[in-house]
Amino acid sequence: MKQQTKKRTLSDLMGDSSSLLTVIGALLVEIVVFAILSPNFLTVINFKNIGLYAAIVGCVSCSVTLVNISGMIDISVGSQIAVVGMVAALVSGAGGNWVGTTAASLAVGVTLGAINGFFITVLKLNAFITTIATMQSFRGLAFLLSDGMSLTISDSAFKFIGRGYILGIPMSLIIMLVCYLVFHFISKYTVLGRNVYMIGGNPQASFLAGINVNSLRFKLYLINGLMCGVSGVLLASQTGAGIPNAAANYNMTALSAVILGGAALTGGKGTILGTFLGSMVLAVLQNGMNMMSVGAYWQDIIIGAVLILSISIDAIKGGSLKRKL
Amino acid sequence: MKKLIALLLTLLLLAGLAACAKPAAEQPAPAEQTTTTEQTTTTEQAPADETPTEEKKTVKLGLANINEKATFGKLVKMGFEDACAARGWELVYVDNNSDGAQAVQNAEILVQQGVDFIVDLNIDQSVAGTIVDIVSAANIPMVCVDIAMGDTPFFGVDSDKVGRMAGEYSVNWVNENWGGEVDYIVCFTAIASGDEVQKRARSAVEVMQNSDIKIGDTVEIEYQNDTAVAQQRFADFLTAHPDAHKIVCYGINEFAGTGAIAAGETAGRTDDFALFTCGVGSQFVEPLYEVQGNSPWKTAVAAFPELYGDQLCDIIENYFNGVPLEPLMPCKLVCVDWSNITEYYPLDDLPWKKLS
Repeated sequence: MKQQTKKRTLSDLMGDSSSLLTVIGALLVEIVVFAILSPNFLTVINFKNIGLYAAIVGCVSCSVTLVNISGMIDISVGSQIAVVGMVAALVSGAGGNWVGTTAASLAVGVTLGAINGFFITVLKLNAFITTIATMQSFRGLAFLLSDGMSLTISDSAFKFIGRGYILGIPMSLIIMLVCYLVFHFISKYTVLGRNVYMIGGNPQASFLAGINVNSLRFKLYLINGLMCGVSGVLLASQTGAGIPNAAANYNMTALSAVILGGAALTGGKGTILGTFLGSMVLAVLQNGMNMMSVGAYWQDIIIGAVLILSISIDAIKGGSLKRKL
Repeated sequence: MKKLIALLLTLLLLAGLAACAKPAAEQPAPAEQTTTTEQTTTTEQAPADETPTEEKKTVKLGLANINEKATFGKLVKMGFEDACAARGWELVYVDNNSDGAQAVQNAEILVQQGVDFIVDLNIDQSVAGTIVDIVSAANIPMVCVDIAMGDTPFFGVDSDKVGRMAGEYSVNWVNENWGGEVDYIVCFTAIASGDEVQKRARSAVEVMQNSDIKIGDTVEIEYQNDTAVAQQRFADFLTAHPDAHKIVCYGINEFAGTGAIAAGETAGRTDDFALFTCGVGSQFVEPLYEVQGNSPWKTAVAAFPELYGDQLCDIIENYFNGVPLEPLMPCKLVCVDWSNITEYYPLDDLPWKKLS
């Protein structure tokens, strides 16, 4: 009896501890390997660098985690980020200050999220198909906004958001950490967070229990749009430009981080801490390989292999080899 | 409620379609007519019976553009429209949309439209043979632009030459500013664009390696034609090489340059590298004006896509006057830097600003 109580307490502390331990292990192995292979890897400046460049995908991965836990999906995030980046460049180019540019960008992000949410929750369209369609449309919109041209951003105050440092810490890293703390709090300690897990685990039962499933899903897409706005602002401010074909691979990177962190695409499972660790695993891996000048194609192969390996370890620990189906 | 939503969506769709249609007000002056079909835009001169004596001089030119979504394609289109209008020619326009299958279909369309001459910008070399077969079967002369298509006369950027120009410029710069020494050469590649295009950076590396410059090491960074990727990978490179203060970077286009500059600015190491790229557009010119030339981006080799139309129409005009087409017809190339930027890209007359 005592032992059971102890187990429960540990489980409560760790959440999906099995997945978290796997991803923590992967992160430690990476750090040790790269520290041995690359003399400049284990430096403060490099870890700041990792945080700075991981922030763009890291921020949107927070909300993608909640969307996935709720049993839904959004593969249009890359296109949403591109649209937001273009809007930021347009507003900044029209003379908007950094506050106006950021506000307009976030508003556009929320609007794009609302469009996804409308089709998925009001018209009850399949989330995967809907976001494939909006991925296309939003990308087209990104091109349309500037007639296909890249737009440079010269406002140094706006560029500070992505490139600046506060007390030696990259601003974008601070923004990412704040986002993770907020999302961790929401998912763990609010009714909304608990309901997200419930509707992901069993939407029918949640509905019968009185949860407004559609309304909650709509809110999640709004939040996801907002986070696309944050990532879009970070991207535009880091590159100093609005680029219509930017962020093309961010959907997959964000989903990879979420899955590495232990979330199930079927819903009901996953943690914000797991996603944070997942995105760090990917960022450290990419950074280490870049520092060692590993070829781009090898990088793709290795990142895919790490993803498969992590999921396999998790699945085996969960008894997948013993199951007949 | 359901009916109302269905009705609203239908109205939205119709409104969207109406908004996408070209408004009548945008049509050209009465002398010219523009008809837009699914894939073809035809700019027609005044009816032939009104100007019977000039009928022989009028050329019906078919242009299959590379991809109208990108600035490059827009500038090419604008240049051809202006050049044809100036000569009183009819331009039959199609967009290959960077798609081989579309390029084959477009070749058929241009043949069916009965054009006198075809200019083709096709990105997919695997369909080049098919396009050449279609056009030669119709006995229509053709020039391919920027990407070779078998034995078809070629006009445009000689990638090797562009790379060599950037290389020679950088060798002089390093000799003048870094005492003939370089810690690293970084070559930004985007392999998916094809081997030929990589020469715009790799030939520059070759020139530097064959010069008397003392070189530490050479590294290739694949940036997948994505500014953010270029930025991140170059930032990691800078972190991995904290003691490198003389880094020469070459890139095939502006995306690599913008990414490298952003990485250097974020890392506070803009003095540690010098950048030499190909292609001139807003990302090179506008920031250079902003910092009054005080940038690690030393030069970009301009190919002036907005002038392709004028240069090619001259060639076509000569062809119809009996001058045969050369197998290789290079376009105008210039190393643009702070010393000559006002000559080629004056701030008040930037070609991309004319695009609507």
